[in-house]
Amino acid sequence: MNDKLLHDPESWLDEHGDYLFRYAYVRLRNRAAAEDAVQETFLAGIKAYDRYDEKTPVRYWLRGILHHKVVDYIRKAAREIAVDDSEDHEILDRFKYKAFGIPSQQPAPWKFDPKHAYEQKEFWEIFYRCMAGLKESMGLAFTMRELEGLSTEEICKELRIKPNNLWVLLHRARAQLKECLEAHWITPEGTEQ
Amino acid sequence: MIMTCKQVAKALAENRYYEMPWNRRITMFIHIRICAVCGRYHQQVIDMQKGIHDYLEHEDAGDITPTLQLSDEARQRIAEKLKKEK
Ligand SMILES: [Zn+2]
Repeated sequence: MNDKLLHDPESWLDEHGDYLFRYAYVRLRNRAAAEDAVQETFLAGIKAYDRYDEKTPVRYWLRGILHHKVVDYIRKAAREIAVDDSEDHEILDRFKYKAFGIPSQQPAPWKFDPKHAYEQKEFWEIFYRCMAGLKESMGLAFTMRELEGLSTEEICKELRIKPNNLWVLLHRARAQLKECLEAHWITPEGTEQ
Repeated sequence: MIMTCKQVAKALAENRYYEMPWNRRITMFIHIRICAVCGRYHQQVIDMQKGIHDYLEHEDAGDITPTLQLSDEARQRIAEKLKKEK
């Protein structure tokens, strides 16, 4: 295939547009923001194009730019999502009461066998949709920790929360994800845990 | 040194326990071995971690294709921008 054609920025949209959009959407959970992030990524890519060394495929190079756009967006969005501290205390108390100390209220077991599900191709679309459905502040915390690998310090700074409260958001995100997967992944018969 | 269930839950939920000092980590894993509640929670966190890890691998390979794409308006807008900026 013609290298020049492959690398022509005008072909980026057709070649990588939807891929990058899906990458941004599952992290930002907002169509307009994800589309803007893709557009900004392409424009930044054109500007930085002479620095592209062709060592990585252009898709991953663009994705690296998009990663920064995603984190930038979250930084801005976090200013508008004030995490109410009183609410956090309430969550902490509820968490303690609900999940621990009372033997009958252990974390509920999986309703399907994750190891089996992870081997099914169809499972990953449900996983994608459930991650894309996480609610605001817990979704953003989940994106930064689990999908973008930021540290506790960075996340707390960006989300303006106390380090002591991050784990609550992450716990709730995981619980919501689990619930969503259980509601949408139909366990084939005979594989229940 | 003793860790409460709540402290264990916090360390697991934050998912950075490998950054903990070794003596604290050992304390935590002993707790997980003997406490059924935390043991089960630990396994769930591990399962979820594996799911996210596998998801990211599939994402890298580009073989997850949810029926989700750029809207026609966005596509057109971006195409025009690209033409102009090139
Ligand atoms: Zn325990």
